[in-house]
Amino acid sequence: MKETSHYEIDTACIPAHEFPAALIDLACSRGLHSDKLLRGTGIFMEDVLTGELTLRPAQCFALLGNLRKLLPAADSAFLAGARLYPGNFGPAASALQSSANLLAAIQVIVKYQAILSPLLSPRLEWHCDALFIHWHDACGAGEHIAFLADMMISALVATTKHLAGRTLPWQFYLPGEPDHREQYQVHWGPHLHTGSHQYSMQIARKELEQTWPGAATSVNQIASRQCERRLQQGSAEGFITAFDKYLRNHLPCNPSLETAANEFAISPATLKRKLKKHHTSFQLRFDLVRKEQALFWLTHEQLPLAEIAARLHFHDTRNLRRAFKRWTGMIPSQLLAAH
Amino acid sequence: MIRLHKWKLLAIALITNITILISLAVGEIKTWQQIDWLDIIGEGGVSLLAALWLGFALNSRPNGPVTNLLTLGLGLIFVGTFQDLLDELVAIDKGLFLNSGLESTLMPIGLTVLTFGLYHWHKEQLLFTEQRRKREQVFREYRLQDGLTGLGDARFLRQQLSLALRHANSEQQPLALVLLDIDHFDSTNRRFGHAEGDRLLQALTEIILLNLRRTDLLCRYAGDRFAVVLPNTGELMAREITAQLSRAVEHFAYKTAQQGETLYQSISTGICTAEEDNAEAMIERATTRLLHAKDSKANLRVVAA
Repeated sequence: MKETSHYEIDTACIPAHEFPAALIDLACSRGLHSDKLLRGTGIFMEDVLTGELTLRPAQCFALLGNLRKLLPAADSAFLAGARLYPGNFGPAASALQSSANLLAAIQVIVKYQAILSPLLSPRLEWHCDALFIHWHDACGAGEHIAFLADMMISALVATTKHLAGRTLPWQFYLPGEPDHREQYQVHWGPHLHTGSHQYSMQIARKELEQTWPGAATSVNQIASRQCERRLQQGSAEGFITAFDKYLRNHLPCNPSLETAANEFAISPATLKRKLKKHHTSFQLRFDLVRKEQALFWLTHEQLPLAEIAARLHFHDTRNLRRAFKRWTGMIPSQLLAAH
Repeated sequence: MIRLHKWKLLAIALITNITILISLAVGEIKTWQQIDWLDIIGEGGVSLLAALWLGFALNSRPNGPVTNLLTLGLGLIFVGTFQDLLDELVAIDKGLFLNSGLESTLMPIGLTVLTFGLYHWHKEQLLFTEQRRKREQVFREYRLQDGLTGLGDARFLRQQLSLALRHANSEQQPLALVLLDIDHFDSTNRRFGHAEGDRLLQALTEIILLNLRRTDLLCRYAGDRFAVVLPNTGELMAREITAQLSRAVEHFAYKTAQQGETLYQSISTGICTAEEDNAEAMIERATTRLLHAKDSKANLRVVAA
């Protein structure tokens, strides 16, 4: 893997007029002064307005921190998400809006995640007659994960509702019990599952291929090519996304810090430093990836515990049970019952 | 707010300066040994607090006679206490009016004027309370208020609905809850922008409030969903009021800020009456009925098309 193929928390890679502009606009429409919002972020409004400024993810997180402090209303994430697309995303938004159907739209967001959702990356997982979209940290969002997940899920719900011309029967999964259930009910819909230990959404397969009224094949192809060209110049995914992907793909051979460092062609010490820079560590990432995988196998695929233990290199099922308890606070039988 | 009152503040600062100058002219600065630090802390504290009250009062009020009374009262108290503080630092001849006379005249006058001010503030507040009755009934908690519409939020609703339920149970009275949701609100947001959507929500809040009784309570549940608590109201009456709200909203010709275009709205509603249950269960039942109403409306549209 090449060193340059992913962006990090301090890579200047996010055009200020794309993703960050949605946050700035929301704050301004709520009567916040832009100077106050941008204080301490190293961003200046005049530079944003030129349309040529690119921000580092760290600056976006600082902006998010300010926004959440100055605008603590419970609906901020939902409103920011609802007005995110088409926004000022250029070809990426055109590709999204000219999608032939829901599946194509989801694939646009996944493929051009670095443009459309630079701070949080979606991961698709097929299961029987449903598609799951899991939302993961892309480059060290830290405490902002929950806000970003609410925002990105709202963005996807709002834009697909608009493009489909009707409300889609999404199901939603949240890690814990949210503070403001009513916001989720009104902005997302009634099918909310809490205590699921991840940020995910689910849709039935039969919804995916129904043709949308706004479908435009040639527009879509041209816009996609423009996005490809842009991503060739920059990087297509965040460091944490790339790292998690490596761990997920190499679960069968039980990866370690050393093998991971080898894969990324850096020394273990450098990898450690890099992970620390993104507010995480090898053990945290490894546990997170194993937890997600184990939960999916347990609750959706309903694999026996012995099988999951073998796949994740646990010595026996007792050790796996203990790991479940550590990861989620619940043992497998409770998790199954809760599901 | 405080910018509105810069002349008042300047006048108070000027008077304070004059008292400092006169004190320095007629008295002598005390030596370190003569200063009683306990008095300095005590009187300095009182003076500081008076300044703080003045700041709070002015920062929260527009111009007007009530504000003038409050400023005058608090200003006199401040100057009086400040002179008292100066006494501790500057030795002034006991016989002079400035020594104790000034403070003992300013303080009672200031307190009397302040009392007048507070009395009128109270009268003014009664007026506002009546206007805000349908938004908060008899309870006010600014932290549970929605910033956009000034209505209580979902937590406020749960709190008030629980109280209303308890009251209804003990008095053997019926109680109804109505949830209402604006149809296709997100397409209005998309077509005219979110700022227009926000203004529409504010306007609809007023329309709904005008169509409620004095005892009813309106809250903003979330987004474009509102909740109305109807005390002492049975199923039939609740239906009647909900129908009135629907008609009022449908007849309301909202004008956009940009082009002055007219937008008509409709609402979907879910009504539920209190049974042997809690606030959360009531909200849930009303939500189910609301979603059901929305679904059948959408189906009707498909059939009509």
